[in-house]
Amino acid sequence: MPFNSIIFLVFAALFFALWPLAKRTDNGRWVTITAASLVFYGWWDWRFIFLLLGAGLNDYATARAMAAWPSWKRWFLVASLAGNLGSLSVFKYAGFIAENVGLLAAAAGHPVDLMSKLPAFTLILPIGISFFTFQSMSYTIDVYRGHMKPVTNLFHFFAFLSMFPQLVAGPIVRARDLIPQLAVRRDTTEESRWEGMKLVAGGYFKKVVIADNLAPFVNTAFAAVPAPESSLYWWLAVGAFAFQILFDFGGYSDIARGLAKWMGFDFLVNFNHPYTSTSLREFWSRWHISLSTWFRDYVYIPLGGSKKGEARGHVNMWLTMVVSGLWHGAAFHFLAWGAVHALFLSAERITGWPEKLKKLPGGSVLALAAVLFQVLIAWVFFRAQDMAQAFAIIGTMLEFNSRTGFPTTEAFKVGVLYLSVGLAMELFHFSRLDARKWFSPTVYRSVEVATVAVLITFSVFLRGPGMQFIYFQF
Amino acid sequence: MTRNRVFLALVLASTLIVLIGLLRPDAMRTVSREKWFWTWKTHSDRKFDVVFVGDSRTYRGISPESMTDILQGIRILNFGYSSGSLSALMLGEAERRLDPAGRRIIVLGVTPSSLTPRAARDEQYRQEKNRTSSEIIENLYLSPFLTYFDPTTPIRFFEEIGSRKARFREAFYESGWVAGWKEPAGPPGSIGVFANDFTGNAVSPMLVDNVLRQTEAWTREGIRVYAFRPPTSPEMTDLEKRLSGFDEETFRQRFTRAGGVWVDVARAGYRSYDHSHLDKESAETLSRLVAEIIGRSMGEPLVFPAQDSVSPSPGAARPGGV
Repeated sequence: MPFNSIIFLVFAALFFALWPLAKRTDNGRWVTITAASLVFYGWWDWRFIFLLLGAGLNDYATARAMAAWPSWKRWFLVASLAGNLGSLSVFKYAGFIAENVGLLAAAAGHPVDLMSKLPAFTLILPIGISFFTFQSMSYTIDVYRGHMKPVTNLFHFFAFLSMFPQLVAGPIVRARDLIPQLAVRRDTTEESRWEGMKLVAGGYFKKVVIADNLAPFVNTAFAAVPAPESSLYWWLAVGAFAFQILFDFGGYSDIARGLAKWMGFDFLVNFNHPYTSTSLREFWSRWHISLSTWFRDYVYIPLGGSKKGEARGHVNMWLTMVVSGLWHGAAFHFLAWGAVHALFLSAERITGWPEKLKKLPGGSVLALAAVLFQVLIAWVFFRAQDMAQAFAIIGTMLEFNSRTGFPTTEAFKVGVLYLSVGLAMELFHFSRLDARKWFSPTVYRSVEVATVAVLITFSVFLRGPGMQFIYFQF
Repeated sequence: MTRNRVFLALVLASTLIVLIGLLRPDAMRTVSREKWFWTWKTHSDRKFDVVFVGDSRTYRGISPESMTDILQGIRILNFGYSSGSLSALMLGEAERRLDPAGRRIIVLGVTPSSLTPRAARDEQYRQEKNRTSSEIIENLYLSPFLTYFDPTTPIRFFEEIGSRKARFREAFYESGWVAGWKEPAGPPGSIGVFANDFTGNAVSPMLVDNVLRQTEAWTREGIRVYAFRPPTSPEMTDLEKRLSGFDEETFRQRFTRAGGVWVDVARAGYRSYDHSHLDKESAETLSRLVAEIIGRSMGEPLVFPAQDSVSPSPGAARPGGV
């Protein structure tokens, strides 16, 4: 059930009514979280529950086996990774692989139709599979590396793996962060409940007001046939998408963090104003932090990181970015998105342009603009329906033509309005403005209360057309 | 203060929500009705004597309420969808809604757009058809109670409370009709937005052939098939003639040969608020005319009530279009 649905509000009300009683004992805590999370997940399609249970049992059993037979642990890890990546391949990449193998075979003069031979279940993408698979894998790898001991209680493990606030769209919480939190009863304070409230209210505002109101403009633009030929139109449309995806996903992460706080748990920040970055390296330390650090710790560093020479460092970074692109979706335009970022990151490493630029007067603003330019170009690949559309849009954007005459529908006007709101929010942060300095502590607390109330009211009356969270599909 | 911030924020938010909900113009409450309307139209299993199928010109242009004033006791459904087509899918779905024991009449709203490949994707119908069970339950049973919380956009909000610009209004009816009009009434703006509709998207001969084949099949099975071209503005008719590749006269001849009855609704005086769709009054006029022609061809007894008592005003539409 998505956070932006009435059924979730009912579910959450019931859960938080029960939680103070349930959290008193270890088993009560773990069983309640697991049961509630399975209901939450099964609401989309109860059959997916078995996939989640399968992934979990695989890693739970593997970690226990590694502890019992340490000399075999490498083989246990390989088997567990094969299971996890195999299930991801079947459900996420089977169609992509079959289609492209078919194309290659046809080009070689041996046409085969693999697509029609795929079982029907491989065409369904279980919601959140990439998130819980990665979370589960991190547990096994951490046990293998000796960073943590395996969990003995099955429900303790499933409470970690399935915890509903972050189950389907992250943040990807590491086992060594969450499992210890789940091991003890954690009471909330007024401060933590208020922090949770701010995160939940802000998250809903970002998702249902900003992202959902940007969506009709973005969807119309990318579905338009023929596509408008105005550079301005496409810069606005791609800008709108950039903020749609930030606030859609960032909003989800904030709601997840807020709900976790109400349960007594802490998840790390997942988005930290990425569009205020003045280098791409900084962008990746602020964007989808839980995934970026996952790839850093479990792909980039095991490949050798940048410690095996400069050239090898570039190769490792390219591999990591391309795999990250494919993690987002089984299509060449996602792969291209990762590769374009890798290209820009390589150029940044080689030239060191951000540091040089920032030394100039107004250099930080120029660096910010340069990063935004690259990020927007890369977003085109991410959002486009295929590579041809991506290149056509980028071609129009880079013409910098003065054509107008594009349809200024209500969706366009609303989109531009909320794009401005999103930009203003990021610029507020970039300018290092701090509202706490404008008021006394007592007045500031009242301002915060009023702000949260207004955000809730806006989320009710200014919410956009109901949209699924973008990252569910990953 | 410090100890009650969550409670205080919730109380303040509730107060604001109640105040705004009470004070805002009623015209902003359409989202829940609209959700109910499309879910009901798509998922209701009720059966009818007459089913209209077509695109938005059909669902905005045909009022079953006005028709039943003339064809009394006949159950009529307007099964039109936005950018809807006369594809095999939609014709089949229309047939499924006929009562086998009823009069069994299908009326095609033939527009050039409804015969194009892009329309044949039937995106709106598919979107509604593919809704999850919980969405269907929410839209059918909860939406009528949620109109109080219906959202708006800042642009619409300020237009409603301040601007003198003509405002678009619409009312959703259980029969599948959406009545639309402008307050105050005014001429439509530019037609430019429609100019690209047929670029790379001309009328598909395959779709036309399929409509004619289906008409023949239905006629053989005893289903009576009527067709009409929903009236629109003269500018739009001209644009479609130039760009769509649709030849009405040829279609009409072939349709008649296939066993269908062409309903000629060409009259002066229809009014469109956007160059494409008829406004409420014109839709009612058109519907009465269609009812009269169909009724006469079927030999049905016709009733001609006084003009001002023909159909309920939009304000009389029940919540959710019920």
